[in-house]
Amino acid sequence: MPIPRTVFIFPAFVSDYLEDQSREITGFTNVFYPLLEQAATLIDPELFEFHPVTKNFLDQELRNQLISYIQSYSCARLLRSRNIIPDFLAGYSMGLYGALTDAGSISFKEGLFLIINAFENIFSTIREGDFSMGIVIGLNKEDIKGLISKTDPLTEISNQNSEFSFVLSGTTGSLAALLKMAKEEGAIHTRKMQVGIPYHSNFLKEASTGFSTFVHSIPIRQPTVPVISVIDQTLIDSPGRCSTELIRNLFQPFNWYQTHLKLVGLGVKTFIESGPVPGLVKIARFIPGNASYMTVLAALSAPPVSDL
Amino acid sequence: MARITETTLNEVKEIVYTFFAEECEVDKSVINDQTNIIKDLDGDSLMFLELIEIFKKKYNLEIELKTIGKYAVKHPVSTIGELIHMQMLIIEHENGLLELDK
Repeated sequence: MPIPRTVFIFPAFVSDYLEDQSREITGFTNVFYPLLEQAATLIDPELFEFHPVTKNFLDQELRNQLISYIQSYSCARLLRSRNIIPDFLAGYSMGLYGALTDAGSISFKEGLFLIINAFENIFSTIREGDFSMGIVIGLNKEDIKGLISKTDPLTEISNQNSEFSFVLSGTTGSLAALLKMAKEEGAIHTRKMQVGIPYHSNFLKEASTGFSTFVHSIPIRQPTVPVISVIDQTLIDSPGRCSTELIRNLFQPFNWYQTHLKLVGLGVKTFIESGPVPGLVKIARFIPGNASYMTVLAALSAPPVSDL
Repeated sequence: MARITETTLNEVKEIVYTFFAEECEVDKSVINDQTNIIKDLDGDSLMFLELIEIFKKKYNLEIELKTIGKYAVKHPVSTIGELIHMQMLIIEHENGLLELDK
């Protein structure tokens, strides 16, 4: 009988801190604050003022992403220190940086600089445009593709979260038109996200060129744990694959739904969201199957199946 | 078109109440038909979707999600009671749900 496996999943951003569990996770602050201090010293002193309620940077995309990276890496270290060891790692969108850091392919410091460099390249690419991302729930992929064909410039599917849940990128005008059409077509829910960067779309292809130069300047190491590509669901098991994934992760669409299915096929029974604010756990509710999604708090209270 | 009985209504109520109590981590006794799903329970659209799937499986329903979506645009649901009412209509009329507005 195969041994049930565990995956750590790394979020990209935090959308709100209403369900923040950081104070309840024993030992979290002991790991998080030294890393936050390190990041503040290296790249941005204001980061050290972070507070989940009074100064959470939710309206500042780069700082939000940096905080999410520091939090998720802190959680992974904490889990490992309690002997909860993953068989696989997966990064949701820009959560890739956290996954590669936990895999040992890049250092914590290199992760910080990768995030900043990617952001700078993206910003210089899209500064002339007005972009957004949005969510459509309740339509299938064919319905969405049909609606996309009616937008100009074309919007793009950035990610599929489940059979009936999609994330889209586009210009703000095109996306608004698509969300309106989706609602008329029978979408259960549509929403414009508080994101001004069209991640995982061709709008960012140009940004990947400059970012590629920076990625190749980093001595990326062999991952100690396989990281699954959320783009094509293959296992990233070499430094070269890590570099390729980092670069294409900016502009290629990913499929969280297929990634989940692939991991379940590889024997994964437990998905642990490596972050203090449940986000991916919520998304997973609509993915069928018997695998369980756990927060760090739950995982530390009740070890995953593979550790029993 | 399915025949709706008192038993069906009680089943649907029980499923909806239990579902939201578990998902929203509240005691079932605090939920009633006037409970607002978003404001009082912090519910969301994914929960709605999940619940629809539960009923589709339980009653072997032939209905497309977008049919429900189109109906919901004209008949928005805010409370548990409204959700139960809509669910009863879905079970009764399935893909003929939109015919109710004609």
